[in-house]
Amino acid sequence: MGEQVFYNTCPAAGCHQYCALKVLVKDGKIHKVESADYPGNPAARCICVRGLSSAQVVYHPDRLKYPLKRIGERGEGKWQRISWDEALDTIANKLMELKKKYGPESLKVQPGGSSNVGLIGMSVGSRFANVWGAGGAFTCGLWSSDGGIPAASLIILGVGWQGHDIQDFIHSKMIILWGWNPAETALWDMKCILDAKDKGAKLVVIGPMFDATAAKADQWIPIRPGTDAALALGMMNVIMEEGHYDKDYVAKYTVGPFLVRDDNKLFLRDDGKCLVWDEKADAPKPHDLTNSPALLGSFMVKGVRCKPAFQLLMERVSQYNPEKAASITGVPAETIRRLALEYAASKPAAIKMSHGLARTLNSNLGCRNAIILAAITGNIGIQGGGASTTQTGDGVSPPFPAVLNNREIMFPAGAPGTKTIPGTTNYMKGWAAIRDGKPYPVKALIISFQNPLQASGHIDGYREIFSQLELVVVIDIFMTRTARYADIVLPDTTIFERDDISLSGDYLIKMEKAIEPLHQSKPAVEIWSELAQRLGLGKYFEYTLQDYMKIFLDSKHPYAAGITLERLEKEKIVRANKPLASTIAFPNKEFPTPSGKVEFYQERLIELGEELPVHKEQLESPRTSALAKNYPLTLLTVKDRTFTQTQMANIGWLREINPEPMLDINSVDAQGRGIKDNDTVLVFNDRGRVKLRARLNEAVPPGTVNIDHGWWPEQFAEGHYNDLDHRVDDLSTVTPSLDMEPVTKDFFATSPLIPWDCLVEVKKI
Amino acid sequence: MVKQYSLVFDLRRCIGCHNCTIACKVENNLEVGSWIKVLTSSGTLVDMPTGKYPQLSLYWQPITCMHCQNPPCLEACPVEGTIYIRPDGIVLIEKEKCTGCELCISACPYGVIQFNPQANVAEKCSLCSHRVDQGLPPFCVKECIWGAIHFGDIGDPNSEVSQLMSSRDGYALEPEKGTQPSNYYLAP
Repeated sequence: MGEQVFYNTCPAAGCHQYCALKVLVKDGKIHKVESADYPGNPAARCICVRGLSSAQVVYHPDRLKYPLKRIGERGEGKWQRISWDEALDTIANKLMELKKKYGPESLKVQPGGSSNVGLIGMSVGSRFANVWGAGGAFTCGLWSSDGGIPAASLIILGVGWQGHDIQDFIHSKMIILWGWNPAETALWDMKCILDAKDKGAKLVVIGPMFDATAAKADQWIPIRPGTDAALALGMMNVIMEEGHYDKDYVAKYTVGPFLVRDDNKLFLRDDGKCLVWDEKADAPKPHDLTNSPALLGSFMVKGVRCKPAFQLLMERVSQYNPEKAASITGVPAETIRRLALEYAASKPAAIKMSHGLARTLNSNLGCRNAIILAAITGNIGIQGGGASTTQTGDGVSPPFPAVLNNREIMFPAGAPGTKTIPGTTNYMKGWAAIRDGKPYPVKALIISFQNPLQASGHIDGYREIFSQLELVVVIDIFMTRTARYADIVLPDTTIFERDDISLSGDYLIKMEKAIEPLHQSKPAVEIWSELAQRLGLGKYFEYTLQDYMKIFLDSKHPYAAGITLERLEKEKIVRANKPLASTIAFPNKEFPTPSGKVEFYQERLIELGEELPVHKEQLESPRTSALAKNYPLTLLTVKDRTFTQTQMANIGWLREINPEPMLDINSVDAQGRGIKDNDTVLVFNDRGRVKLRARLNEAVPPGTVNIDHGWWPEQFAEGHYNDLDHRVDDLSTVTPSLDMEPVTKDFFATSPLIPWDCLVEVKKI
Repeated sequence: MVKQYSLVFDLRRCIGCHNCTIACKVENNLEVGSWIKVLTSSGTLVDMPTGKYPQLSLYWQPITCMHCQNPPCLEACPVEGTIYIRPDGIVLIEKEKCTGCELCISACPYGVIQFNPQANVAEKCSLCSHRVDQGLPPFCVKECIWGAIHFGDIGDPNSEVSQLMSSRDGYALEPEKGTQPSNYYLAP
């Protein structure tokens, strides 16, 4: 038999790029995976080591091969092989029992995380949850554990995901990557950044570690972890005190001119409308009725002392001169000064923020302050500018996926729908509610292709939460740490063994079954359907996969017009009906905030003392935490080029590049502890310990250590780095400003997990 | 000028991603190792910078068979015809003739020939001659999305690689060894 070609998407798509792949099959076996061309857009082609290695996932000897039933304690690793019938019957019987006793909402379903790239597979999991009437946190599906940056964007700019297309960086004079390492974690984005750099943009990278992206920068700003808010304040201090801010922009597009009352810190309103001080009339006026509002000064209005919000911002930043900012951040004052002046003079200048900026308590202030820095220099809503999140979308129109018709698959007519646990507005609160069984008990959990026990949080938290559960089912391709704590484990197919549809930016990709499912693995769509039959819900699962795909594509939105399943099957990769031109966020400088403007002054956050930008230390700050006496080192767990979340840790080709978990420690900290290269060390705190070898590495700053994220527990001599981290149900890790509106009303913007807010000590053993 | 296929590595665009090393494994079915390696400028572990925090520097340098015009491996090989130069300048090892004596491996100043103990043969980059013969670029070049590896005829002054060489002042590794390497580098 000759060679057959199939199209698909990268299975390791935790980077959200979903690169299109060509899968070559000979004699029923995948022998090659390579990058595929996007029609009419050669620049979009991309692949990285994860995609290139993906056939190794399919043929890995450790794949789950048949259904398993736990016969020891949870986590003990004792299993018995069972048939699909026995597995599904057992699950169905238990679900019926739990439904009778506690109601259908006692089941929580998690159908696929960001890496389960098949949209039909994921949607059918949601369909099951909605048909059953399952309960849980948020919707039946995703819990966002990384919503810190969208939360900042939502608060200041009125919308969570505002991507500002990375291709627009070609117009930037300066690019600041803040807490982001795209050279290892978002490779197509890095290409666009290199293109912009080659065209003359200055590349500045801000972050504590000297990573691959820092190595490519024109200037790297090493910063003490968790102090980005102070750096932005120091830069604003220089820009504002030396008059380099964009006066017109601040007056027109921000709440800068709005008068703030001295007595209660609220905006001064007349008949509900915010007032400004009209400089020409020398009198107060509604903000929309003047072109000459004062930005600075102090005014008396009807006996109330008021100042424009921008005056208050000026007073606030005056407390953070470069020397003060330097004392907090460790960045020299002169560097802060020069960076600020250069940023202000380099319009248009782009800031791109990523999760590195948002993984400590209070880090939301850093994200917010970076956005404010961009706003006062007039850089938001212009070509080559922005202070954006790493996802795509212009912040105004819906992104392409949102216009497709997966809702009809997820929410079939007549189904009861899921019942969300009230108040579970973030990951931590969601898990805590299950732990406490309040306000209703959750007794069963079905997790499809997610691995929370390995991705984040101390194992003890999950142990306690899982002790409430009478049934845990995990559908996956490997025995993950989460699967180890399940009662029944079901073997899923890899994405090369089933048909589905995926989205890669503005492109739809036909995911084509290239080989027959190996072992006894079954596509998740079939698993959900067969389970539903056993629960008497078969009438909701009469569609074929083809039917689902047709429904999915049958969107009335103009972006999807003319995209049929027939066309997708023929062309494999189809672009949405959108022009190729790169989009920028807020092109009309209209912001969906209550005022319609950039809200750097927050009436909603007065009670937290966060109405204006401020720096607050993180929870486990080496400077302010009592823990620092015993545990002086900050632990980071950064992402490396050979992992996607917790995937690919067992892929041999990638382990040739990064063979084993190592503790990166600076020579200063190593010498003080008598640690030499390759010594076995114990990393520990009050919560837990992990044993591994040390690597003296100047890429990490003194006072900070790093273990790459993604390693599995069995790859450590003892323990796991997550067990140094907070529990996922620890409510002290919820950022207060993100536990209130508008954040709690938004699906994506949430209080994030804070895995980098963690103090440890290291000793040689 | 005589035709001479060449790789020109732009170290300014190289981000140390290792796509080339994995692509080489994919294309040439290499379970272990790769015919192209990515060296870290500090010469130590992968991605380890030079200097003391925060005065640090780091760049990457992919290295593979240089397809020398005066290849020391060919000279060292005791079995005539095992190592040969194609008319397009690609240096190849004929596996069937190789006895696994490893003399070529010690003769190569660049350390880019590897021994395959299963097949008892020496192996190295073939510049994907099987792809080149079909008009395709070497697979590492295709999958270097960042444009850090350029492929072309360095003998043709109008080729992209020749143009890059002159505009960016390209250099060869260890030219003093007299091997006349065909691969060149553009400084980071």
